[in-house]
Amino acid sequence: MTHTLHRTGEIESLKKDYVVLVMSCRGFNDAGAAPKLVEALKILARYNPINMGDMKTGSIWTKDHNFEKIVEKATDTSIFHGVYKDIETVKMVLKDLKDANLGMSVVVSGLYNETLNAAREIGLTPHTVMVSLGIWGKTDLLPEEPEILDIQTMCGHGLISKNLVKKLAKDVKLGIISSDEAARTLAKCCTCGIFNVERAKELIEKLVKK
Amino acid sequence: MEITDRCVGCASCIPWCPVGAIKMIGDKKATVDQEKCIECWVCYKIFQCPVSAFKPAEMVFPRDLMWNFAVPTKDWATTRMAGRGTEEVKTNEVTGRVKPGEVGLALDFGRPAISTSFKDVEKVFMALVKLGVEFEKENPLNMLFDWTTGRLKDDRLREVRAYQPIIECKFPIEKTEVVLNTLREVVKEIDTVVSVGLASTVRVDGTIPIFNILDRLGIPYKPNMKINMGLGRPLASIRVPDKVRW
Repeated sequence: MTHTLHRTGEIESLKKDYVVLVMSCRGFNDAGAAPKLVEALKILARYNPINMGDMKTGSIWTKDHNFEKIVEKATDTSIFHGVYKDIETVKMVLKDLKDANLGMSVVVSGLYNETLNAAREIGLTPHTVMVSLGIWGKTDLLPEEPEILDIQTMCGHGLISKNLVKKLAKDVKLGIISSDEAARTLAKCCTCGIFNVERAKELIEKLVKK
Repeated sequence: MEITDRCVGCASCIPWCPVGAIKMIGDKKATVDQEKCIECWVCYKIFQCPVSAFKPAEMVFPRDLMWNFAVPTKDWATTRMAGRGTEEVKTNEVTGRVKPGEVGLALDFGRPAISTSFKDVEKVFMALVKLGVEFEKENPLNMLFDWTTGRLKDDRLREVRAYQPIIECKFPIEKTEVVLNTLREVVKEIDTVVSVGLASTVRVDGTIPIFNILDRLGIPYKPNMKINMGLGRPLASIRVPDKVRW
């Protein structure tokens, strides 16, 4: 479950890419956690996330799914995500989560220095980090275009095909679909709702210009 | 996954497969290359086949195992958790799994979107066993490997492909250099990629103990990280003081 780590990209692009995750801890505080997790989910929703979802039931882009269904299907072990495009919004989300004092674990995936500064301003200090050392091994297997890798790594479970990204970019170039439609199609592949649709749109536009 | 005779050969499913396992037979029908398919079910659950031609294969060994690794919403019977790994440091403030003075390591094989054979996972597992690292007991891979040797328990698994299985372990911070140097060597022998993650507690001043080691070894790390904000309760572990020996 390292799914929100290893997102690649240039700093300017990563400044628009933050995932906030909320979960209970199995065997420690999961009993009766569902209402607390739902309260956290409502906080995530309050700040207009670009994407959101539950790793166990799907995202707002999953077929026949939406925010209400995510709430309806919440359990003690739901893993909720919200995706945001700036650290200021993340700071407000964190402040509300801190004030709500739910006792659930909260994890931000994003630029460390920005997150650390935001956390300090609201009286938090990160407890633990997981740092990506990148991709090792037979890296010639990776897509040549960095934009494709940046898009693929926004679904940590690897459900976004590089061929689909290429096809959709081609369709955008031919005027068959818009970059927004292409990004929304890709978002359906990421079942847990951590795919940043707006960043994907920008990356597709960069690909199209190549 | 299989494709039934309903297929009309429109080929619209082909780009959706993350590992490129769907191919056309002539221009009449698509088929799934069973050697490449990793049972992620993107073609079946997410792509909308206009004639509903996809049909799951019978879930017997090894396809049932591959399915469990590849589908993120599916719980493991052993851990009752979805996904390929565990909670790792997402709940570390509660579990105290990675303590001050320790380093966690998570190796995602075949990520992003490449896949791996268990044979390649075994090579790395064996190298890590020799270093005396402590493997995460709840990780699904631990059902498949002998912890004392790092070998697969079932030889039939060696050629089976899986989607992004994760080795999770931890070790004292003093071992970081030898672990990473060993890893740098052993990944030269594998036929896939590995996404490498290191976990560490954060000092009260916000600094991260492992950065000095990574800088000394010349190993670059990404500026975007996964950051546990310490809000889970009850709290388990103590913080690393500002002034520590490493």
